[in-house]
Amino acid sequence: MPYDISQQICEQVKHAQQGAQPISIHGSHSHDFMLPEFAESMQLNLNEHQGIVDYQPTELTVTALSGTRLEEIQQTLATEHQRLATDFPVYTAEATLGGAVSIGHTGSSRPYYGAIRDHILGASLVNTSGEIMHFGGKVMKNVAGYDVSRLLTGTRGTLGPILEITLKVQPLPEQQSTLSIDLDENAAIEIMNRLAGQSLPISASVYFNHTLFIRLEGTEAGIQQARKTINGTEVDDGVSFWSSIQQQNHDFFNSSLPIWRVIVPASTPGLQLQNQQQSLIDWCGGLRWVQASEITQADITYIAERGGYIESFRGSKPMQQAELMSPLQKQMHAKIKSAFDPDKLFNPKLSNFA
Amino acid sequence: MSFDPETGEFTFPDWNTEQVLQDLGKFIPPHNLLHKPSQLKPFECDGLTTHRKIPRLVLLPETIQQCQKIMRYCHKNEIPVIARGAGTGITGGVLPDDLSIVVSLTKFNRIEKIDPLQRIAVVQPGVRNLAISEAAKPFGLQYAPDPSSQIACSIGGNVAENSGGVHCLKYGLTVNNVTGIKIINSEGELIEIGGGECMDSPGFDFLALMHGSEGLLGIIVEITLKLIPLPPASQVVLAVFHSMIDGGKAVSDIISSGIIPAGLEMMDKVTIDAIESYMQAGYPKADALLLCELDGNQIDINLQMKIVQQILKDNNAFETRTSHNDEERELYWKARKSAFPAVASIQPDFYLLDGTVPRKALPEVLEKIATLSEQFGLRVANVFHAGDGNLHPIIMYNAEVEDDYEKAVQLGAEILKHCISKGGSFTGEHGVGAEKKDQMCQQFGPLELLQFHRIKAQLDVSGILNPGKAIPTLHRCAELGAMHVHNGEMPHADLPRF
Repeated sequence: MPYDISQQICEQVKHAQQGAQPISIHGSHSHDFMLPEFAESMQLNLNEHQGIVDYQPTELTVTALSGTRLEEIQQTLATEHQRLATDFPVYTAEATLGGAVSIGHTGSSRPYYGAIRDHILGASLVNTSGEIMHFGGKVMKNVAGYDVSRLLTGTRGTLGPILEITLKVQPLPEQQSTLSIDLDENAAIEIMNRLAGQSLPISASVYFNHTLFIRLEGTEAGIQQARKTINGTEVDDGVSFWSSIQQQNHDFFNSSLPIWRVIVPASTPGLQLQNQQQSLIDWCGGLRWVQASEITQADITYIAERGGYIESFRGSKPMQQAELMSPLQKQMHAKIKSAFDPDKLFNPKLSNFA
Repeated sequence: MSFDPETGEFTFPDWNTEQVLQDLGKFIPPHNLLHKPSQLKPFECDGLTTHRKIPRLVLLPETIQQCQKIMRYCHKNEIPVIARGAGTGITGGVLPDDLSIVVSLTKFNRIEKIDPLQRIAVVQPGVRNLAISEAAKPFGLQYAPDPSSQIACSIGGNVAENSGGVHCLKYGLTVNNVTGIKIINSEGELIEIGGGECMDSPGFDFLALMHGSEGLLGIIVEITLKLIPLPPASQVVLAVFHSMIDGGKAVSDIISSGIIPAGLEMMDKVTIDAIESYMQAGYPKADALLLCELDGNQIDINLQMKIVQQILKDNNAFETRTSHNDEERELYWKARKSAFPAVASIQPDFYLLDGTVPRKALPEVLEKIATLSEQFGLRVANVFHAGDGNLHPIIMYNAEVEDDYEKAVQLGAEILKHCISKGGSFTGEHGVGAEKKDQMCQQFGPLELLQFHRIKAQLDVSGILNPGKAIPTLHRCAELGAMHVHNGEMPHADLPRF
């Protein structure tokens, strides 16, 4: 049964507005390690606002309150042989739907099944007066009004508390299989991209420690055929490998060195940052996790020259999103922040775009 | 301030055409500055030909710098700007008015880059949708969204409307297939939005916000698109039924079986007959026709085809045909994509709708449409993206008959109201434009509308980008009496109501 505390949340926002008091909005804290300190004396905990409100297997949609645990959603969908339509990162068992959308980082299936935002159909949001606004809906196609529900992806609670989210779901694949190929880094990057350009049932590709891992999902026949094309070695416990990437309990992520998140065009050859130790390549080459004691201005320039950007992730001082934006992009964020939250009530410490 | 974010009302001063022509002539070459009546005539409407207005000036910029200068000039002088692509939209989204300048992006027609390894294309907004897939084909790639007008519609317009198409069921809408855009805002600033060639970008999802914003938030001047592999094989099964209800049930059953077809389209008897007399596609006589396309590797197609065939049979399909080759498959689709001209050939005046509903509500909504059609005494043809629950009822009327058009619009409004009441939307892919703003008052309450106006006021400070389209003023909704009552209180009680 859903435990819906919308009214309580709205009251709390009204209270904050009346007192002109900033309010920090959080879920299960599973992403706190990558966020700058954002707590305020008045806190809004969405973690308790949880439960699946509506699940329609034949419509391929699920609606859940923002504090619903991703694990719970997956378990419910599995009873109907369905699942979330792309990989959602689950860093702790408590990770919530609202948190995943607010952060907006997608897991390994990003290049193949799309980002989290691609599967958002609707959302409701509380405005600064403590009133509930509804955007999008539960239908597959809807172009009425601006697409505010998808806009919310990556907003880190700065436009207001998200109460409810409707997502598109997908059928579970018949089979899953993982292949590995031993290769050097540049060859692996090229092969990942070449394979993505062919009609194959690939749903993830990761390169780590001289090995390329490819996840296949689909029908038995489709996977059989892909095996022949790819010609890799079958990995025995592929499921554990992918969940270790998803949950980031793979050895790579347990490093004592800081881990950086580098976004580059997928076919960019292997990177070499100044203090780089190990790296793990995900997203068909589009995401490079890098271990490095620190990054330098030269590293930032080096990545910008390749059309990408680098951000702190684990083990170093968390960066503000604004640090990664051009002046005009910052200005645009500041404007949208003003459009939703002119008094800077919601997570103000994460939204210093000016 | 010419635009009031709290109500959506706007006012702009009049301007002197001669003076503006002279000023713009300083940075736009004379042949790209259209001002003679014969030059302006083609820009009087988009595909919604019931609404026409000859613009005062049309500009055809060729460079981003020219676009920026136009915007800076119009911003300074408070002259509204309507950005226009190929003009194939069907909601009057680029309908001119007394005070606006039309900026046509047809000269932005270059495919700047195709990177087959990375599977992206960088294109200018005036490039035709189909031209992209044609350019990608030698690399075994395609651009997935395929609106029926893809032969003519431009990709910039596709982004502005978030266009769909028959293959969007499996491959997503425009918003799911664009990775970055460059826009010029009303102040003439060039801003990069989205990841471009990257799969992520820091901050809010502005790329989604721009999709379907109908030219109200910025002018799109460059687009980076995702290309996907061409499937090695595709096969279409055509099935006919004695009732739309059976066809509608088959649609739901196919989706719930776990199969996501590349396309799943349905049409009714009126449409089938119209298509047959228009192009002799060889469609069987029936009350409902379903096209289901499966793609991927041939083994999977064969397996899925067996399941689909069984579902069709279980839902009383009385004949099924499977395409044996690409020519046959393309003929089936060509016939489907000709539905609108085909209906036009039997009744030149028609009013096209674009409602969406949850798939399971399809049979009921179709029945409701039939009842309403009878009630209003106007024929309605139904052709739609059934897999997405996206209906395209075509209301036929006779412009020569007094009040017939008004009746058609009224009937349309009733159908769309019903779609909204079933948890759907009054527009799935065509947009709001000049013409469906009243439905916005039904689908959204004043809180959401106010939020939309605040977004526009922030991003378009002078309010000059396509004013008056897509988002109705709060007054208009109040006049329609369709204001949502929130917690028993009328919001914005200070607003004058009539």
